Amino acid sequence: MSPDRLSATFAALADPTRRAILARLSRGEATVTELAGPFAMSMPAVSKHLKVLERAGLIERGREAQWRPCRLQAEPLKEVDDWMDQYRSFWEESFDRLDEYLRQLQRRERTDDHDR
Amino acid sequence: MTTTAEHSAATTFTLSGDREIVMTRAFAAPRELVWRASTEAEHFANWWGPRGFANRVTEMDVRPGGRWECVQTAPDGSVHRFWGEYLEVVRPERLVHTQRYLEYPPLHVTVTFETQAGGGTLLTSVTRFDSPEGRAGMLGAGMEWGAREAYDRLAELVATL
Repeated sequence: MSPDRLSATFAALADPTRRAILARLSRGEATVTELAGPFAMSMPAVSKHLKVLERAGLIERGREAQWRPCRLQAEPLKEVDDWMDQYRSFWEESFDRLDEYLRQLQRRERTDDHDR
Repeated sequence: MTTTAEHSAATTFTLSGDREIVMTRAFAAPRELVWRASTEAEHFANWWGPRGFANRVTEMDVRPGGRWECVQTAPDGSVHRFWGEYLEVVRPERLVHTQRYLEYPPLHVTVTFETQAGGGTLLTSVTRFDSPEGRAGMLGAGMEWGAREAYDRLAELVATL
């Protein structure tokens, strides 16, 4: 998993319209016209976003005639998810440990109060 | 003591913009105590990092311009040194510091501590990377553990990014 590829994916994902396009494509392939539908956006503007997504390897476009349906490519997203998992597990475990430690500290305080 | 305080809440993670990661976590402890656990060396060493990692905090000078340094030993014996500088210290509400590792550009971390109804504390941490490349570049920075398959969460992931 190369950081270069990851950063290309991150850059492509930084735009909310592109994320919405990917969310739509996660439910199945669609044409440019179908994708432009929910966005108040011209076809050239949508095409521009699709080019960025295609360059980042996040979508693939069919060759059939002029329809060229867009399909989600899962692999780069999986890399982002794996990356997030590593980050997540570091902090999730840290915070779980902190939670336990805070309980310990409070129990200790209560015992000390009791002894006094 | 309320019952909610007995349950440990889940940690939330959000990618924000192209260079931030936002985490929140609620703790069943007063804000002052969460602050102390985050800013006093002997407390901090007890929880920072995944299970099985041992910490040696060699510096923790919590005031603007002060430094911190923590040397972490992984279960495989590898040693990782993290360090940084405190930029803003508003006890017990807000802590801003940098975090450095190897030759990577510093991370900018803002931690806020809020008292919740029932006396617990909500911790929010915003990590800002120098660039989208920086956020991606944390990979291979000693954080390569716990990766697992997650294809089924794809649609969910895209929706929450």
